[in-house]
Amino acid sequence: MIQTRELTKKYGATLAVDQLTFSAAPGRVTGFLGPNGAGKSTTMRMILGLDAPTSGSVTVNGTPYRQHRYPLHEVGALLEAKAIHPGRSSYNHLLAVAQSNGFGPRRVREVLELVGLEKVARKRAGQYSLGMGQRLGIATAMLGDPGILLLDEPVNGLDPEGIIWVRNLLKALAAEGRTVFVSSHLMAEMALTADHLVVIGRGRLIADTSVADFVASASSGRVRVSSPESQRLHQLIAEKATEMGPIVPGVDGESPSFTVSGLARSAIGDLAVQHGIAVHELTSEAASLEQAFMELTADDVEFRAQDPNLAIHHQPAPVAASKKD
Amino acid sequence: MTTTAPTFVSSVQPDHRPGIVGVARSEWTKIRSLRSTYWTFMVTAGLTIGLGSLFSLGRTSGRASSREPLSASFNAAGFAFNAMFLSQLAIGVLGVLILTSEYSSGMIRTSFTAVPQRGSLLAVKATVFALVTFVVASATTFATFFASQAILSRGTLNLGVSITSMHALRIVIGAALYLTVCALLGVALGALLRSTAAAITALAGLLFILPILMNFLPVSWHRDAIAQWLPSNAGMQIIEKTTQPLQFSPWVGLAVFAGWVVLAFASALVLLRRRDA
Repeated sequence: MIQTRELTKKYGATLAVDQLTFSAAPGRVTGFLGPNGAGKSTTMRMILGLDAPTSGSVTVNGTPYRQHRYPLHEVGALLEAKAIHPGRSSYNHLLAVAQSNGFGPRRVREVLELVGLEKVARKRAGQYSLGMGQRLGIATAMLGDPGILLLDEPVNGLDPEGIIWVRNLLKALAAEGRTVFVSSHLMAEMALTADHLVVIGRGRLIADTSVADFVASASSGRVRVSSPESQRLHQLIAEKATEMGPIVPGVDGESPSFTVSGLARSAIGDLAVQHGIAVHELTSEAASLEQAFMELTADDVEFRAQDPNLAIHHQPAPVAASKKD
Repeated sequence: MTTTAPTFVSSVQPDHRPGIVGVARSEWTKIRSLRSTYWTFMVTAGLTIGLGSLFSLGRTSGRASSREPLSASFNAAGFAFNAMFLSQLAIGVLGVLILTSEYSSGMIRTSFTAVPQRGSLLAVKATVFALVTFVVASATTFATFFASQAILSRGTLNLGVSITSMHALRIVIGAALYLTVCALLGVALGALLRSTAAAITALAGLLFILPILMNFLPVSWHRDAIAQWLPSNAGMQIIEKTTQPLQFSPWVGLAVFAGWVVLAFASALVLLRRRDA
């Protein structure tokens, strides 16, 4: 269990984290979402006692992190991939971290096997790819077989196979009753991995909710209607709906279509039948997690492209996309 | 979700009870697993033994002795250890890197999450490194002594002395201690400044440049009274045979040097606890 209360961090005049209160519970994957620069990493460093909060508090299993004496058995963390001396092999890196908390070579071999690095364990870490670095970071986090895992952007730099591996690993770890707290700026990835979401923007809490509720709350409630008599249907619906989209001509022989807001699918269907109009399509436009996230954080993005329409309304990024910085 | 998931119980148990011994084991693993450790120790040993022998060779040649006539005050046992003016920097840089390489790679955050008691971590790190350094430095200074005496004993001047002669053992062990304190100064500066470039600059400034600058100050500013307190000036008294006016005696001098390092460590500890990592 991770709990923050009014957690705040100021760097000079910059408010990086602003009165953040949330908790990550055992037995589920809690996704920690936010655009770049939202304060995710700062929050994670404060959870681990690396940065001191300006005000507010954060506890891990009821105790501030720095009061834990040898905490690897309770908390495992991945903050940045390749936070290793480039001249040290991953075996020696893991051994040094393990020994500091009483673990030995046996456990090092176990975690190397878990992440699939046993063949390159004696190679100097400076030669590792970003993906291998992530696997080594996850191995480091797993050394103490902890009940709480904190992972900052763990899929960053992984290939599709690696992403699926991490996703399944996190779900399996949560299913064992562990607290899994994982940050990401990739909404689509979180939709597949997380059970619960903590969303922040500019250091402030935007949402603390289940994935399904998060999508629903930000869902547009729009319905797409397609009909060969779309002109007539459009006019009929316009009398009752709150908002209507323009009629878009159909492609490849499809009927023209338009969107409706503020009127249920059933009401639209009934209306069409009453007037004897054929309907070829009647679908709810469920917002993807990505769209929901974009809408909720639209005001809280620190860095944005010149044309806001480009930044906000583009298609959801593919799952395999990775952060480039 | 919460209600259906089982309560997690780890099946993995530590091999040893977590404690200071484990942290020491971890720091030893860190030191021995880097090639740069071996290289820097070799450079330190090579510079001390090589330059010490070269200096000794200079002393045996006719020209040098005619320019500066020999007297009973010649410090045969300690003369070669003047070579430490250079090797002190090599060992100090290794001390700096022990810490700053963790900062530059981000490893320090892993270290602090594994051992949140930052003061203990720094203390154990410094102790393990000091012990390793003292072993290597002792081997180096004994080798330097015997090489130097073998060279000084050649020819007609026959300046060499035995290890059992007055002051010899104190000088040889003291020189190893001096190198160890230099290494610790590097660790303390690394912990204080966190950046490799800044810490190495500070190290070279303290040990190397400050004593030179002192020579250019007016004598009326009590230059010599102040200069004796400089880290390397005070520490290097450990290799002297006789104590000069306005210089500390050997052990007091080394203690003054160690005092500087203690001061640096104390400041580093305060900052280490307070600063964000």
